[in-house]
Amino acid sequence: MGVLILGIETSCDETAAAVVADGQRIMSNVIASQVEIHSRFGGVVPEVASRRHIETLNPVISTALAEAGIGFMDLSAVAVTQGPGLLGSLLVGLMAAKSLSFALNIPLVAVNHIEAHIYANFLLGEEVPFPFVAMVVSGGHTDILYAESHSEMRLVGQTRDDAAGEAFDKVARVLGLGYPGGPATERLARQGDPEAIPLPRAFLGEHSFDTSFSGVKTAVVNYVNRARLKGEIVNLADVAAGFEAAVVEVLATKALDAVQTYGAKALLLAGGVAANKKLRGVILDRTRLKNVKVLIPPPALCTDNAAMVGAAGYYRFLRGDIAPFDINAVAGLSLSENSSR
Amino acid sequence: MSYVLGIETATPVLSAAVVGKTGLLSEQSVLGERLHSVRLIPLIHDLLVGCGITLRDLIGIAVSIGPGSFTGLRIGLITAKTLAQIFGLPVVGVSTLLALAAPFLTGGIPVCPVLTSRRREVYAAVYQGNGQDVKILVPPFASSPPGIPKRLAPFGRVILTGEGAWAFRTELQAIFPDKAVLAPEIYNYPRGAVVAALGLKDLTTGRGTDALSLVPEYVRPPAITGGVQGEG
Ligand SMILES: [Zn+2]
Repeated sequence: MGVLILGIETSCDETAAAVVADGQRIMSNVIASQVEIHSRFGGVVPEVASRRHIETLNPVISTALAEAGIGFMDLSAVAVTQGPGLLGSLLVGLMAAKSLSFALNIPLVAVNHIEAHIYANFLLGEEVPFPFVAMVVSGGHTDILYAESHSEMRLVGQTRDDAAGEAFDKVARVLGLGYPGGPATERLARQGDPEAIPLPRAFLGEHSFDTSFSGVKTAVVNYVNRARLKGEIVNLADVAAGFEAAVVEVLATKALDAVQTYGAKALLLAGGVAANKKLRGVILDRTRLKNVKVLIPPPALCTDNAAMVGAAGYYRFLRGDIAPFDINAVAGLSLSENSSR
Repeated sequence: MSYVLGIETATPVLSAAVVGKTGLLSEQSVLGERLHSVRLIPLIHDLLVGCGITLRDLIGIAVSIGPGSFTGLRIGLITAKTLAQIFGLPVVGVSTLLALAAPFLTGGIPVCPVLTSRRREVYAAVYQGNGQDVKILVPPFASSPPGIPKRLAPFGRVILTGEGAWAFRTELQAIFPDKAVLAPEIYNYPRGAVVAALGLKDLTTGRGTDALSLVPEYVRPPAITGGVQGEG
């Protein structure tokens, strides 16, 4: 049956377990979402998330094994998100993974959550050429990475303030669309004119792959508040469309600049915001005539899941990057930190 | 032989033990709250090796389920639950306060175990015991330290135990020594051996539960400080 890795992901508000064969075939991918619980609070409440993880993780693991048609004894290794994320949430997954590794006498593989997002692209049945540029865009991250090989991956750009998904959530709140804001804003934007309201785009210099979304977010908030103060009717769809267009323009430009600068053969998108259709469309459009392979996972693999953890874990497992039992969860884990720390 | 692994992670002292029908086989305890997640698995490994047994020799796992440090409880519980899940073992959730009180439960004298919680509050309960028979006089509760004497009013002389009782002994001064006596400081934290022994008692009388359904007894609801932004 090859190398069977159980992936575990509990870094934020999804409790997830998956079985991945040989780093590429998803045998099961189970996610217990907490979105409904947290939407009442307008965002993820850490203690609430941790409490939910401990209730659901063991049943989720059982389901993942059952759906894959295997038992605990069939596993080759267990891979888990070590960070970055919410500490209390990470610890639940990490301790479950350590227990599995210890009890089954199989290797423990510690994975970086950002790295895991990128590896969703290795589950698409497509060849992934090196070197590649990856852009991970979510509620917590707007990271641009350059990878020469599986073990040589480095961060070349990140957000200086709000993550792109965070800006989506905040704008959605101002527009009264609730939480999470990404999908709701995207739906509303479809009915609007992206050019009706001019909004700023921060490019932060030609050779920077950093991003900033607080400017456009503030511009939206000010526009809406000013209009409401004057008693004007705000066309919410136009605001949503204008905001989405501004964010997508910046993300697409930065990603493609990085591809060109590094001479990358592929561009890999990942993270919750990569599910945005407009972003997908603009990037595919601008790479059409270029010799760049663009990989974008389906929406279910863009948001947090454990299959991506299993896939990322597979390549660490292959190169013998095994974590000891005394590793800890690291809320602010950076990509360069070794798993054994 | 019937061995039970006991896990205690609710307080700053990490403690685990293996007990059998004849009593304690091995116990390890170490102070350092933020290191439970780092130390727990190596400690269980050493413990089993020291006893010359493996996880397959266990008839069940007992774990301290609170009240105590929320994160600490989850570290112990997820470990107990996952180990039990793999081997199809029953688990027993042992009240952290009962484990703290157990060494003094004799002669029918009420025992009030006290642990500090995060916000200058305490978790406490009142138990009464005579040999194998333990009664819960007041179930675990959270309160300010001055709230404890009120809860003890219905009882005669009481034994107070635990680091919470020591930490707030000035606040509790009025009840010493006529109403209450303080147990020695060395018993300030619950021990893995006690958790395992209480678990063994439950397991041999068929009161173990399914690993998947065990949850901590937090006593306190989560602090809602406004949601942080989502991930995804
Ligand atoms: Zn994520």
